[in-house]
Amino acid sequence: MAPQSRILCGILVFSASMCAPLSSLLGLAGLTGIVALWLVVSLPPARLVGSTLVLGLILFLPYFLLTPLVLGQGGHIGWLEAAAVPWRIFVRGLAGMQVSVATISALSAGELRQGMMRLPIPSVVSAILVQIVQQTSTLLGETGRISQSMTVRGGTGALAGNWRVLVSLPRVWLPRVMGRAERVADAMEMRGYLEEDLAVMGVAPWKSRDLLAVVGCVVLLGAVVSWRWVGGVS
Amino acid sequence: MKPTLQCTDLLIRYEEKGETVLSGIDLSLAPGERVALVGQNGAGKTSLLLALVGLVPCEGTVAVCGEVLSARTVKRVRSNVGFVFNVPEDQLLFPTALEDVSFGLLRRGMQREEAFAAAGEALGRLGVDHVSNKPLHHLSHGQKQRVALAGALVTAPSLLLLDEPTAGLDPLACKELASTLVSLESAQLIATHDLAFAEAVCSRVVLLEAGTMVEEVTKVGEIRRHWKLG
Repeated sequence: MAPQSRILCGILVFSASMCAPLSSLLGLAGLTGIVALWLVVSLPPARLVGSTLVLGLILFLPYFLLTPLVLGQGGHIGWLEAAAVPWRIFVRGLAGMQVSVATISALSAGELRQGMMRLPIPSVVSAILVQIVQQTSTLLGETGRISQSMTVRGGTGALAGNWRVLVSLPRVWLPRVMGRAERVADAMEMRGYLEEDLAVMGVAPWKSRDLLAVVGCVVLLGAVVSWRWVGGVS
Repeated sequence: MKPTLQCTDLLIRYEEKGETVLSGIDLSLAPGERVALVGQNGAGKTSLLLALVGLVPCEGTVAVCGEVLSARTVKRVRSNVGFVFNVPEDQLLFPTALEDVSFGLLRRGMQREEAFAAAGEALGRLGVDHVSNKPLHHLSHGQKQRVALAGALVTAPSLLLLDEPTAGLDPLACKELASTLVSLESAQLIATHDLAFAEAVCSRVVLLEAGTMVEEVTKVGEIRRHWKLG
């Protein structure tokens, strides 16, 4: 499939997972099915699926700490009803992260650029997004080097050492990142990166199977939306 | 003959009424001339190079190929200049070397196939055509440096500005880079700490010290004597 259709389908599947009704077991099964289907189609590495799941748990489990507060303010509602909102945030958060990561992981940086250029997004916005992805690998390398230097200089191991390194990160890592961002911006300006429509670098054509996939995802989103709002299920 | 680069009474300070980084810089490069810019760390070499293409604010006059640098002309001036930044990663904006080098040609309206062929040739001239399609973050520092240089050279600019081009290169790569630069027709202003490299490539050396140009010599030996390096 062409990169632009993979991105577009990813957005549609993401939207479907955000709209899926969660008030019944059937809704939950439907959402699980949508995410599982997208994972099968995108085939992200199993390790990436695992780490996305762990990150999702770290990010969204703390919402359940709000349950007692909701219970305290909600009058006559029970624990299950009080936990409903954190539960929805938790499930949708996990589903959204898996769909997004699977979509992006199936694209190389070059494909991402080609795909973005075909979508109706202002070219400056696409160019900046593409450049953020492009610079991420450099940034990861830099983070790795900082981590190596922390290990060599005894930053890891003892709890106090770890803590010292952790609190110094905003003063070490962040200025480095900002310095790099400034230099990259200079280079972009010098090379005329933002003046140019990056479509000159080549775009992938739409094929019939791309249109078929996009139509399929639109139908899926339509079905989920009508299930939730027309069918009156929340 | 019109100089390729002419700057007169250049003054650089990053903030209005702030501390002056460089002042009183008068510099001229004839077509095809190669000049080394030397000075200790913080002497203002990078700032000078950036000012010449309008990337840092400056007072005074800068003209490239007769075109005076101003807000209105900055794009035209830059189109005559190839710039190699101090850290090559900063200027590599595309996933592969081939795409990155071809960008300059494509934005000048060259056809895709033709641009890719020319980019491949430029990479070949610098001995990195075997990494054309590799992701750039998998390349070594030296390879990235050459890809950045290929990107600057491919459009055959009248003026090349190189900021520490030998930083992180092994001696053999330095030697190859020197012979590549000598073979080019562009005028070149090269900021470097490598005096042997400057001697091999440049016909003139400009010394920056304490925010100004203190010496302009034709023999690197004079710089060595100035720094008491023997």
